Amino acid sequence: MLARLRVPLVVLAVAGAWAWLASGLPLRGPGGPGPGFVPLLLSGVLALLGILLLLQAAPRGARTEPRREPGWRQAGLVVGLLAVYVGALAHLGYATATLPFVGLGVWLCGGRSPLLVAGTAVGFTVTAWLVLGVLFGVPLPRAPWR
Amino acid sequence: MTGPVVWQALAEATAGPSLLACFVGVVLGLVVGAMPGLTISLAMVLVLPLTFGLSSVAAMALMLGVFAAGMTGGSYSAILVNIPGTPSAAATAIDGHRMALDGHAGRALGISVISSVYGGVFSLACLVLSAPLIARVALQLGAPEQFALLTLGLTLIAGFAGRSLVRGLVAGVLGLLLTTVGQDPMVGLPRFTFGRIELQAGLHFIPALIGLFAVPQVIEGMRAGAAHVIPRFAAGLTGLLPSWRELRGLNRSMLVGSALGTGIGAIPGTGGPIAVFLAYDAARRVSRTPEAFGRGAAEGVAAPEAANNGVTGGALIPMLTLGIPGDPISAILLGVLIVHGLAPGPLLFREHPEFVYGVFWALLLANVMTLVVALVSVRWIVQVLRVPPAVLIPAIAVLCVLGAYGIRNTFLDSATMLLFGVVGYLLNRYDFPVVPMIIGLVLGGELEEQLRLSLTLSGGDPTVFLRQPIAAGLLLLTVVVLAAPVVRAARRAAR
Repeated sequence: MLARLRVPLVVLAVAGAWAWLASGLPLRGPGGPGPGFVPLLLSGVLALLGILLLLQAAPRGARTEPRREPGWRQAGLVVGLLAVYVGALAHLGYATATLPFVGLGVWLCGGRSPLLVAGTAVGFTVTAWLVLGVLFGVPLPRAPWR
Repeated sequence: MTGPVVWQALAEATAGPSLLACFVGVVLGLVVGAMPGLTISLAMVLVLPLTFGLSSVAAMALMLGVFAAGMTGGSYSAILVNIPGTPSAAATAIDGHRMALDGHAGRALGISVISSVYGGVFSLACLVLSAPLIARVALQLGAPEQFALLTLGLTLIAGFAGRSLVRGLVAGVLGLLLTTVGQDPMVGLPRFTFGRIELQAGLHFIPALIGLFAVPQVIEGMRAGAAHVIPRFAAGLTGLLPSWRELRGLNRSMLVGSALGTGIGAIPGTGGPIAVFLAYDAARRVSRTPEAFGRGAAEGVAAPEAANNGVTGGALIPMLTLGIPGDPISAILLGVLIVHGLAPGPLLFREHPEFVYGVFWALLLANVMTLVVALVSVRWIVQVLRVPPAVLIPAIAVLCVLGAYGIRNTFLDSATMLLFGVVGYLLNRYDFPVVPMIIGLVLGGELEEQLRLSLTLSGGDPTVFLRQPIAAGLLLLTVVVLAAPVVRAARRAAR
């Protein structure tokens, strides 16, 4: 039962938190609504929607749980790896960070041939540098020592 | 005044950088469209960083190239391996794959490419004829009418985007809430910034888009990665070009598909997947041989393919004239405009007519290029169906991070992208549609400004929205959209 109500309760909590934060802002400004008006109004609408979700979930048992197996492990792994990659870009620059990241990514996605892993890592890193950096002039992160 | 502007726009749309950008967009669109599991929206957010250094018209040429060609490319895998490359190619698979199994894969692909371009050019003609008129009317709208219009647009999108209106609205309101982070648009007071100077400009919309679209696909791609099976094509690719007589016979289906695609594309919240099935059904009804549908009818390929490319011009009508993106793709296009310092909406036609006509030319260019590149390169492009996800998924992940970083050269945007990626994943998991959140993020600032402006000008009187007939009518329509599921449920219960 509590599991079914988890999502509506999270929606209500977000609405409550936003309303609480917005309550510190002035509701009226010069000649009209102030900076706090719209956030508070939207929090109210979100709370109303949260209550509707709660009503839908409780008596009829409408689905609020994940549709499939959650796959939290893969999700956590991807988000964690991306976070590490962002940090590595900041400290090591584009090429040094991208080569191992792509290689590891290929391996984690099921690519087991060393040629595929190394070839994709080198090929993609060079191609992306050429297309993004050289052809289209997109700034790529540089190593702090450069 | 219009004459010189049109030719000036043509000159910019056919300048070297625009042609190159359009060509790159068309090739990428065909490749990504052909790959099942990768969407046109994903391709568009991944090429967004490429637009930063381009002129606004060249940037649109790139994006429209991906859009138009992506719709066409979706039919490749639908016809050859019975797996639609994009949701908009789902109806094409019914007769297209049957044709391929009967040894006519090349003919089916040729008909699909030609019908796609037919639909794209038809919708462009509708766009060119209708957009300036709609923009002229929209210029007369005041703040209350604009607020009511934006509210209706968001509600429609929330209603169509998922299976539940309430869930769509939750996602939309969350998007709107997030646009309140940063400086208040009217008095400049910081809101929800927690003292962080970086947050004063608000959450940038492009990293949010990249995160919401791409990160969930990376996660899903990783789950499916090891299970990838290299498909076997149904047949060889010969006889791509249909005869003139056959094309004339398909004209009615292509016309029906194009008209439906354009009309449906112009309605916020709908788009290709709905248009193609309606076009398929309509083409069957008007066909002289309806019994052939489902058994490899060329008309069954022509109508949905004309419809999904008809959506391209249709989707631009509300985006350019009213500033309302009807689907994720037009939300991304709108993001490109914002990055280039252009405000979409009716004022665009008055203040930047050269850009508007440049977009029209760019869309024509994208369609013509799609025709040539698709027919010439189909034999090579279908080979991308053999590329394993193990190669693609890490590449997409890197492009997400670099794309977000490239906007302002700050890792804060990469972190924002990641945060929205998590949000997008959770929304998908718990059955909340992502599209309303994106539209909320796009429309939030404008919606707040029009609401507060209306109330300020009326001295705080909320009945201002009911005293203006157009605003009242639009809000009444919004109420009808909101009430529709309740009425439907009550009728079901009564039965």
